[in-house]
Amino acid sequence: MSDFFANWYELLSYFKGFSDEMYGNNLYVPIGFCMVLIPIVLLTLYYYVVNSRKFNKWWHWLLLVVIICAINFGIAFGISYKNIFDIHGTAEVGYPLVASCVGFSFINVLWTALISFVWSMIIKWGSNQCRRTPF
Amino acid sequence: MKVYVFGIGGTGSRVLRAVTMLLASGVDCKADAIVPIIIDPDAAGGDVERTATLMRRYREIRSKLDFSSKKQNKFFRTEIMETMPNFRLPLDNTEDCRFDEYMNLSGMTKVNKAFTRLLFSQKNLDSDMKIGFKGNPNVGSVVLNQFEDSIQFQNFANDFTAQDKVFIISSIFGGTGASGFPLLLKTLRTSNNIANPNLVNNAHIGAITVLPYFQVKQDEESNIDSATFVSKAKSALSYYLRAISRNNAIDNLYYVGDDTRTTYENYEGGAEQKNDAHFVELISALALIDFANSQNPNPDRGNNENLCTVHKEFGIETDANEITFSELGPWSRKKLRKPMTQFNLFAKYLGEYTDFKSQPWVIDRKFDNNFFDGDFITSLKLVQSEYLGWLAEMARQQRAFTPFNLHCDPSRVFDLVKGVSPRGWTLDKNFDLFDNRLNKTGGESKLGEKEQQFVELFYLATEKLVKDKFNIE
Repeated sequence: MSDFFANWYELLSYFKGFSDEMYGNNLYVPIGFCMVLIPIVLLTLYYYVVNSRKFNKWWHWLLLVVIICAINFGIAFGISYKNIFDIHGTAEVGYPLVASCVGFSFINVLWTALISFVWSMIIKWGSNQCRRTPF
Repeated sequence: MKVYVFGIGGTGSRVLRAVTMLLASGVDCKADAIVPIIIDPDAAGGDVERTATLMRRYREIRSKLDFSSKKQNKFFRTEIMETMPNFRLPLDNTEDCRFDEYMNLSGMTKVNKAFTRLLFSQKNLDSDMKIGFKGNPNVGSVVLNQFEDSIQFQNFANDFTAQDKVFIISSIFGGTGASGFPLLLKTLRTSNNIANPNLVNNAHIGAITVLPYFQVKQDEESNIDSATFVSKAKSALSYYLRAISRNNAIDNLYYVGDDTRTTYENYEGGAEQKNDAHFVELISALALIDFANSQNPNPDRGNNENLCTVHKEFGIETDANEITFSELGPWSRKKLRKPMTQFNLFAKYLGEYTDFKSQPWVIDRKFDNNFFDGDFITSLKLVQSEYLGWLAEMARQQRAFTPFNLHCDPSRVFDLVKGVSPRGWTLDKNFDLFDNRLNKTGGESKLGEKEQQFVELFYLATEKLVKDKFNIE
């Protein structure tokens, strides 16, 4: 599973040292699961449980995706920074830790946005109120 | 089965207006088609013109709709046929003609002249017939005695089939209606100079006689004096008893009237005679619906066997000056409440709400700006605006029919039916809830021409809304 998510993340950017530590400590797996599951769960709730005319404009969907991305940014940054800091006991790890964590978190956001979009396109047709959201 | 509806005089036209409103809202009517025939010498009368325009718009809208068995839509379901121009049976020699000229008084012998002056006042003889008979049934009974001569009446008789019915609407306290009804009935029952005389003579015929329900301001210059309405009604009733009811000349006879009366401006006729709608006219329209749904009590009229006349009067449950659905009897309430509420919701949505063009129900069916700006929606909005205006007019009367809160508050869309609190909590409210139901509606509302889809969709959505919010089924 670690290989699976590592391929995703490192496809877009490889951070020397940081990426190896993420892979070596199996940190890609929890972040990867969150990246996939959070958009799937929240968007499914949006399309089928909330399923409201009140929230079926494109900007409502965009706002939700931005929130999902922000959550996944926070999760990616929090898990990566805390675990690597804890392993070394310091932020001085031989590479710019904060910058690497931020870069990685943005990659996580990109994948989150892509998954959100694809999942929305798959499930929107069954929604009464949001089948034309975002378009 | 067709019902030929003769609307005589101003009241006839106003009741036909109410009939059109009820049919637009989808009140159940067993007739396949209504054939309105307006009999009024006052061709420029405001009531006549308004009703004819409304019926033409109804026809325009209906012509785009499909009523095959799979469709559930009842809005505009019953056909309104136009068999004569402007729905009017033309009356010969009534334009630009005084009554004495019509009778050729100057060409009469001295004895006939004297006899004529005995029957008609100088005011009667001088009256211009272009604007009706101004409350003088004695004038009307002469001028209207010409039905069977007209080509249009012959065409009516020619098209008449054994299943068809005839319904006559007239007031008893004026001129045109009071005189036209017995003359028309006599022509229908006895005339042999028409096509299909057997069918027409023995047809299932009903009528509503509207007793006084409004009055007009006193005006010395006017021929119309509402102080005479009751006495005229009494003498006409006495005549109807002798000439119609006792010999069972009619199959169904309805009576309606009201002693709480609004006072209107005193116009003898013409474009200014355009009275506000009244509850009595709505009930008269309901009498037509009842008649269309009824069995002929005299199926063997041709053999003169066991003839009887079914008489019906209308009453409300409580004598209130503000009538809502609660004051109506169970039959009337069941007939009116659901369709009128549905059509009111439909009219509110189209008239008051604009933020719907990005909704799935619009995009799915490819309703574009061309459709919303086209003739169909324009005609529909005009009829609906007229419908809301008609409700507002009835709500202004001394005896007001006011079952709805006629406000335009988008935050209280379902605060609509008086005495009924909207039920149930939903995340979507007001027009959002309306859109929600439209978005959820599929099935037949996605088939057919765009106009058909549109009306079917609104029928199904409003039906669900009135059930969910008001528990009306």
